[in-house]
Parts: sequence; C-alpha cells; structure tokens
Amino acid sequence: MSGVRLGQLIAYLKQGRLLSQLRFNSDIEEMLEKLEERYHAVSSSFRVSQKVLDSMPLVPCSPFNPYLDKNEDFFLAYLLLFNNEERMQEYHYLIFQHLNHCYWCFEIFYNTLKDYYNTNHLLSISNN
Amino acid sequence: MKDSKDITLEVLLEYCSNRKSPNWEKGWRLFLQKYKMYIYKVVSKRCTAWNVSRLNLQFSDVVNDIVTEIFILFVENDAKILQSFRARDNERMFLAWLATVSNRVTTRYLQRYFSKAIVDEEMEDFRDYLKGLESNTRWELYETIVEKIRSASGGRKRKVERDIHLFMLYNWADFSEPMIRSLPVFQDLGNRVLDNVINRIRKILRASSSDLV
Repeated sequence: MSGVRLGQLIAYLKQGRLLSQLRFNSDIEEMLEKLEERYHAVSSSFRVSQKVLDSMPLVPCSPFNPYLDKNEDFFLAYLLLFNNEERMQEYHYLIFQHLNHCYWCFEIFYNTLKDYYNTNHLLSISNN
Repeated sequence: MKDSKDITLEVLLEYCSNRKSPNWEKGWRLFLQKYKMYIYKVVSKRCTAWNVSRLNLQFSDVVNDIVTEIFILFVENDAKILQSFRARDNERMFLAWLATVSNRVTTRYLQRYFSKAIVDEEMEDFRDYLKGLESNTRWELYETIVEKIRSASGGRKRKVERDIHLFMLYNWADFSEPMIRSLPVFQDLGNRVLDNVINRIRKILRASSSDLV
C-alpha cells in the first residue's frame, strides 16, 4: 500500500460505498477492491467480526510485530462495523486494555484513525 | 590504606559499607575517583536520549542533580544498596550494575518532570518534544504515564481503562473532541464526560509530580 495508508483507504471505501461517483486511479482502485473483499469477509456474520476482536492480545506486543500492524480486518471491524450494541461492549474493554498496555499498537491505532478521520473530513467537504 | 591500584573491588565496597571504619571516608574518596565519571557518562547518555534540553531544563544541572541522587542512594542506610551487589570479584559486572542503577534513578527523576509536562498548558511543546524522542524512549514514557494513572485511579477497572484511553488519545495523540466523538465506541459519550476525565487525570498527574522542586 505504498503512498496510501490503511486509514485513508478505509475512508475511501466508506465514502465510495455511499457516493458511487468517487473514482480513483487504478492502483488505489485495486487496493480498494481487495479491501472491500476483506470487508465483506469480516462483515459476513457477527461471529467473524467477533473472532477478529477476540484475537486481541492480552499482553503487550513485540515492537517488531505489533498486532495492529497492517491488520486490515481489525480496522475494518473497528471503524465500519463496531457500534454501541450491547454485545460489542465486552470488546471495548479488551481494546482499551490492550492499547493502554501496548505502546506499539497504540501508535499504529491513533495514526490509522487520524488518517481515516482526516480523509473522511476532506471527502465530506469536497462532496458538499 | 593500600594504594588505590592495589585495592580490590571487594575491599573497596567493604570500606564504603562500614561508616565506623577508619577507612570509610578514604574508601568513598576512592570510589568517587574510580566511578564518578562513569556514572556521569551513563546519566548524560540517558538524559540525551530523553531530550532533556527540550524540557526547559539546564542539561548540566539535571545531570548533576541525578548524580547526587545516585550517590546519596549509595551512601544511605550504611550503603545497603552497595552491599546488595554480590559479584565482588568481578569489576565488569559491577560496572554493568552501576549502569543499571544509574539508568533507573535517571528515568525516575525525569519521569517526575514528564508527569508535570503532560498536564501543562503548553501541549504543543509536549507533542513536539515527543516527536524528538526515540521510539523506545516514547514507549517508556507512555508506560510510565499509563501506570501512574492506573495506580492512582480508583473505581471500576473497565472505566479506568476507558478513561486512560481517552486521556492518551486527547493528550498524547492530539485527538480533538470531534475526532474522539467520531469513533464508534465514543459516539454516545456524555457531553461533559471527556472534560471530566481529562481534568481528573490531570489532577492525578499533577499530584504525582508535586514533589518536584
């Protein structure tokens, strides 16, 4: 995903689904197609998205292999599927706990979310 | 007393550990002569890694303060800490042990300043400061702040972890309130909750740094 980061791609995917007139260059379109496949896989049932969140480590990660590094499934589940349903409440705590214990995942987490938020914001402005 | 070159580590530590010994003062003079510069170098290296000069602190003052703290630690309670070192026939291991103790004292000293820095109004400076740190040092600082908040917070564990996460998103990661509220997990966050969490944790960190000069 050279040049385009995961948070940006997820924002493109979200906005692209809502606003079909969005078009990107062929490289990004290819990445988006693959990401959309992952999205459909993760969203196919609650059990699948549950499994993504269940695999959150209980201990801090190694700096060389943090759990959230290039973890498309997690960010797709967190940003596009996660909500305030009661059955999701348990996962809130697991995520808070891991990110508070694991600096490496926290760094990846907030950078990805910043990219997602800023890209969403820019796309919303340009579409209004 | 023997010539300094003839004194073994074991004998030197014995001299330094017994305040009533006639060799106590001379023992400490020799200890300073042999190890003070080494300790200075370890402390200076650590202070450089933690980017001390960005904290509006005088580098040399900080290093001197820390080295003084280290020697006070060694001398107090009849050199209890020095006595705990076992491999008295091994100079290399002693140097490694000195470096470990020096690094720990330095880190503890600097962490008191960071607790204060993160609650200061000058958050821009704090974030610039973070950018200048190596990743391992950022990691240490992050763990320290989280642990301080966790140990001082009462109440339900789930709420404490949520509050820590909110505070670090806001202060460390520079998330605005709209950004935090856009996250799926925080969309129903009450109006005053974020403010209350940030203020409460700032109080905790301010209290923990109140022993600074």
